[in-house]
Order: sequence, then structure tokens, then C-alpha cells
Amino acid sequence: MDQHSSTLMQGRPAFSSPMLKAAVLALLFILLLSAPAMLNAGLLFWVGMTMIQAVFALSWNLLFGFTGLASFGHAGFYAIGAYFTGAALRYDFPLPFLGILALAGIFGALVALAIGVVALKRLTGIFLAVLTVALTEAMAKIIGFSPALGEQDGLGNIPRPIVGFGVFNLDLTHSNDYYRFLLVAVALMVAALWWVVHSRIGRSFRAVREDAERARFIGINVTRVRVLSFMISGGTAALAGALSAPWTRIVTLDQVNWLASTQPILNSLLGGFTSFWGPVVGAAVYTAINYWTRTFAGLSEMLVGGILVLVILIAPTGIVGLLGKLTRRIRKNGDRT
Amino acid sequence: MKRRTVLKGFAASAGVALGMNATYLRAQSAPIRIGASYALSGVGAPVGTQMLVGTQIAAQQINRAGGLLGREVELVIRDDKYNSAESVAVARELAGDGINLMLGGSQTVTALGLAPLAPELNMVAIIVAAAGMPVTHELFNRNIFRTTANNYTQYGSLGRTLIEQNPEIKTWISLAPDGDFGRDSALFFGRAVEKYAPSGEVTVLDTIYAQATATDFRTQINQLMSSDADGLYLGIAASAQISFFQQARSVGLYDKFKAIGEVGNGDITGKAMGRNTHPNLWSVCHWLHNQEPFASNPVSQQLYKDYVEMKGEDFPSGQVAAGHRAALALFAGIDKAQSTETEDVITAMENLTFESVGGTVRFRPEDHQMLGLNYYSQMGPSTEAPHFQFNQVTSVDASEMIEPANPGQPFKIEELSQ
Repeated sequence: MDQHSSTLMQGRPAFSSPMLKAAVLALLFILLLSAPAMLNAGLLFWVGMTMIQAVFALSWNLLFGFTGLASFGHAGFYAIGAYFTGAALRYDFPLPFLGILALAGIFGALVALAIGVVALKRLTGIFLAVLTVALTEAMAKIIGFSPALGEQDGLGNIPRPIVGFGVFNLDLTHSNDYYRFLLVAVALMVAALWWVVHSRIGRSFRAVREDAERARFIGINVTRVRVLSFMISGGTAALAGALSAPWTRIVTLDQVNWLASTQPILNSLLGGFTSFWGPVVGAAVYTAINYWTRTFAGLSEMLVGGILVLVILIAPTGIVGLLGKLTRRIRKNGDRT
Repeated sequence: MKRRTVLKGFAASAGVALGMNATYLRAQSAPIRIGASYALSGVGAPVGTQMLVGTQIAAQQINRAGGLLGREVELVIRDDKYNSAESVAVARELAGDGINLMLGGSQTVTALGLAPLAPELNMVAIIVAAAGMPVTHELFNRNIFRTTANNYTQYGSLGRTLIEQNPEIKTWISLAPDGDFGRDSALFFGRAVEKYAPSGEVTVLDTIYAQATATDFRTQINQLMSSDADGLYLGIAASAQISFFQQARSVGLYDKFKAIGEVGNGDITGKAMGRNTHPNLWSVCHWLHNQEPFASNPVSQQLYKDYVEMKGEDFPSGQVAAGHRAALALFAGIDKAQSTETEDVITAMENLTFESVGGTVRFRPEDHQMLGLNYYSQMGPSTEAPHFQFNQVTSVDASEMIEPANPGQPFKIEELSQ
């Protein structure tokens, strides 16, 4: 077993029983569903943003943690979705909202395909990393000169949609209603990513990550697998951005820079990139730190930075990996006694 | 029904009534909580923290004078991190805590997040210093009031000041950051120069662009030096502006350009350049406590006194006055409405007139844009420390330089008459 496989094993979450996992996830879903009745509007907004950031981080980690590729400009994909959806709602494109979301995801995947075909043929990570950074920078420039996209000011006053289902309409104009829609959409996306990771495709991703030469030897088309992973990742990131536009009701260039691209990396490293749930935990912890330190200007950045240094030094597999290690140690001690 | 049961019922009713009355009275005597959302960390912090000081001093002053409606004013301070998503979160959190009055939008990016939310949150939102045109145009709603000049008024007035003060300069050029603010401010400046040139014979050359955060201006300085212009609008701000002046001075740009109007660095540039300050440098001026008309304005003098007491420093930033003015506007609105209810305060503020450090200001009812005098300072080098000095402050009445109110519609300069 190589080192990476071994860290993956260490990173397995503490609760390994499928029944227990399902129960915890069901409880979490119910808690999140009832959040509008329990939380104030500001905290609810951050819960919604955390869910979006969790999906964004999962999309990045599908590439890094499961396929072994690094993107340092993932915000570009997020921005594709956010700006497309923002413009579609603001300028009242004659498209149903679900169609807008689908198109946003498809655009993200197509851009990933275009980059992937160019970069991944070379099969080395640096080309992909540089091209994704270039994509983000180019997008920022284009948006900065596009009056329809708000230039430097950003695209504001984005209306929330009313989703038509033929026989009935789902009015999402109120925050609480859009939050519930967001929760369901995020749950479906997380489930879809979980299925991808645990399916035959996911296994081929991991095989390529572990050893591309061996994978090729056993008949896996490495380039195709990498491009597919990049497309799923780019499409998911664009969908996360698409869901964020009606939630924040403004999209700005803040979301199209290198700092925004570091957010999914930060969340994945904090939570643990070796575990599927690591980026979700990372996003939640990051938000919690931000929220609890909101009255102390600048403290959240110092705390997050400090915790990240600690995580890298003490627990390179992130919070989930650390929890797994602790649980195993407790179990081992229990078995001895 | 037994007599005891009836008596118990009366007693319970009286208890409930008394309890409700006590709650009501407590609410009436509790502090008036006002949200103050500024950029307190990140790149906007140098400006946001100064504005917050102005707001805190305004709250201190009103509490010292007995409060508002007999109640103390309590600021609930939050950091919007110069980020639109944070400004949205802050506004939602404040609303969730029952706060319906807030000051925010210290920069356009945060104002654009905050402004559309105000009606949904049933809030009165004072946009403190965001000058972007959309705030009182396509993003306008009744719940927002802007207490600073918009870009069109600000840079049009700067252009007018420069050409009126320097009528001998016949050719002007702009160096602006490559973005919508830079393009717009240079355009507004140039249009005003053309419009207010006393002789009518003035040429405005094409704008030269640079990165807002550039450190090397050799290419642009070359272009400026080879142009026919002898008057310059400099839209580059902050430390990039200092770099520009340091590089420009050494190649003789100070001799070529007889007057320069800069975007608003003011004393920051003066302190950095000292005796190497351009001899005829004009700035957007927010507040200079020791220059007229501020020196004889009682609001200005009280602000300066309280600033020195609070911070222990003698040279307040002009941004302090922006935070102070925004808070005064809201306090005056509450006082006029004799209520803290959103609708009452909005109605009162639509026709509000109040005193600020720069004199009397009012709101235009149609788009809630503040109108008053906008100030421009002229500085140059000095032989005494700090080796630069402000020589004069002039003003332009915003009502002469503002576009017609057109709430809900984008601003289009081409639709304005020349």
C-alpha cells in the first residue's frame, strides 16, 4: 500500500457503520430544513453560503483528492455559473430557472472540457493549474469591461426566481423559501457526487490518481478519465455559483479572483481532502470561525490561518482524518482493556 | 361562575396588562440600536475604520446631549470586510436582531449588496460613502439614502474647479485606472472641463489608462510627457498615486503640468511627497478642520475636539467626517420623525435638512441623494514641517452639478444636455 492509500485509510471518518451514517445525515438534513424557524436571518444566510461553499469545495476535491489534479483557478467555474444565472434572472431570460441552472452547469463543464483537452493531454498538473488561473484572470478582465455584467461594481439586484412546474409554481422570492430550495439542490448535488466517487467512474479516478501508468496498463484511458473528472468538477463548481447568485442577490469580481479560488482549497485542507466529507466539514468549521469572530475585525483571518497551520502540522488529513485517528485510538484502548 | 373564579380572572388580566405595559415601557426606554457596518478589515479598512470613528463620535455627541427621543443611541458595529456577500450577511444579521436602522456601504461594492436588501428587511439604510451611480439609479429604492456625492457630481465638480481656477490651461488629459470607475471619472472630469472653460476653447485629449495597483508608470509618464496637455486629472489613488508622483517628478512632469486634479488622496499624498508635492495639486476634499469654511463651522469644530479627545491625535482623516455626516443624517431623521419606525423615518428623511461639517445639506426626495457643497482643496510644498500645506479650499454646490433624478433607470451621460 503506498503512502497516499495509507493516508486515505487514516482519513476514514469516525463513524463507519452505514446505518449510523445515514441516520446522522438524515438528522442533519432535518435540522437544516428547520433552520429558518430556529435561526436569525443573518445566521441563516451563512448556513446557506456554507452549503454552497461545501459543494464548491467538494467539486475541487473531486479533482484533487480523488483524481490527483490541482486547479488553482476554480473560482473561474464558480463565476461562470454565478454570472450566467445572475444575468439570466436580472435580464429576465426566457428560460425556466431549472433550465438556467442546468445551462450554468453545462457551461462550466464545457469550459472545463476546453481547458482539459488543452492541458490534460500534457498529463502534468502544472499545465492545468496555470490554465485555470489564466481562465479566472481572463474572466475577471472580460467581466470588468462588460457593462451588462456590472463591470467592477458587480451585478446587483438579482431577483429570486419563481419556478414553474406546469401545474403549480414554486415561489422562491422569500429568503426562507429559497433556502429550502437551496438545501434540496445541495443535498441532490452532494448525493450525486457521492455516487460518482463510489461508482466505477470514481474508482477509475482513484486508479489514475494512485498510478497513471498502471491505470493505463490495465486499460483505463487516463486522459479521458482526467477530462471527465475535470468536467464534473467544473460543472459542479458552476452549479454552486449558479445557486449562490439568487441567494446573495449580487455577484461581484470578488468571486473571480485568486483569493476566491483558495476558498475551496482551504475548506478541503481544513476538513480533510482524503475524505469525501472533509470539504463539507471544512466549510462548516470555516463559517463557524467567521461567525463567532464577527465582532472582532481581522481575528477570523488570523484564527483560520493559525488553525490551518496546526492542521497541516498535526493532522495533514484534516479534521475528519484527525477524528478518525482519535476514534481508532479510543477503540484500540477499549479492546485492550 | 364562582366569585373567586371571577376575581382570579380579573387579577390575571390585570397582571397580563401590567406585564405588557412594563414590556412596552421597557421598549420605549431601551437604547435605540443602530447598525454600523464598515470595512474594518481587508483592503477597505484604512477608509472604513476612519468612517467608524466619525460615526462613534456622532453617537457619543447625541448621547451626551440626552440621546434621541429620550433614549440612548447604541451602535451595533460589524465588519463588512469590503465584501458584498459579507455586507449582505451583516444586514440580514442586524435585521434578524430586530435592528431596522443602519449605516453601511462605505464603498460601492458593499453598497450594491446592501441596497437591494433594504426593502426586504424593512430597513432604513444610509449609504455612507459609495459614490457609484447605480445606487441612486437602477438600484434605487425608498429605503436607502446616500450621504455622499455621486461620481458624476464629484468628478464633474473637480473638473469645473480645475478649469475655473486655471483658465490659462487649454489642453487637458486624464490618467485613470483601467475600469469603470476610472473611465467614468475621467469622462465626467473632461466633460466638465469642456463645459466650464471660460474662453470655451479647451481641448480634452483621450484618457490614458493604467492598472489601479500599478507600481511602474514609465509608459504612461512617457505618453503624458509627449502629449500637448498641460493640465492633468489623475484617477489613480492610494499608494499607486504616490509611486506615480515619485516617478513623474524625476522626469520633469511637474514643470509640464501646470495643474493636477487628483481623485481624493489629499493629505496622504502630501504627507508622502512632502516638499516634493506638486505646487498646484487639487484634491477632492472631505474635511480639513483647520481650513475655512470648516474652521468656523461649529459642527466641524466639535467633531475635531471630540476626535482629539477620543483618539489623542491632531490630524484627523477627512473620512471621519463621512461617517459623522451619515450618522447625523440618520439621527436628524429619527428626531424629525419622532419615531424609529422604518416608514416614519423614511418619510421624515425625504425632506430632511441638517447641519454637517461642511454646512447645510439636504436630501433630494426623488432619489434620496444628498445635496450640499462639495469641497476641493489646493495644496503645494511648504518650507515648514510637514513640508506640504493646503493653500485654499473651494466649493461647488452639488445642485448645480448633479444629473436630473432618474430613480430606477441607469445613468447615461450621453442623455444629458451639454
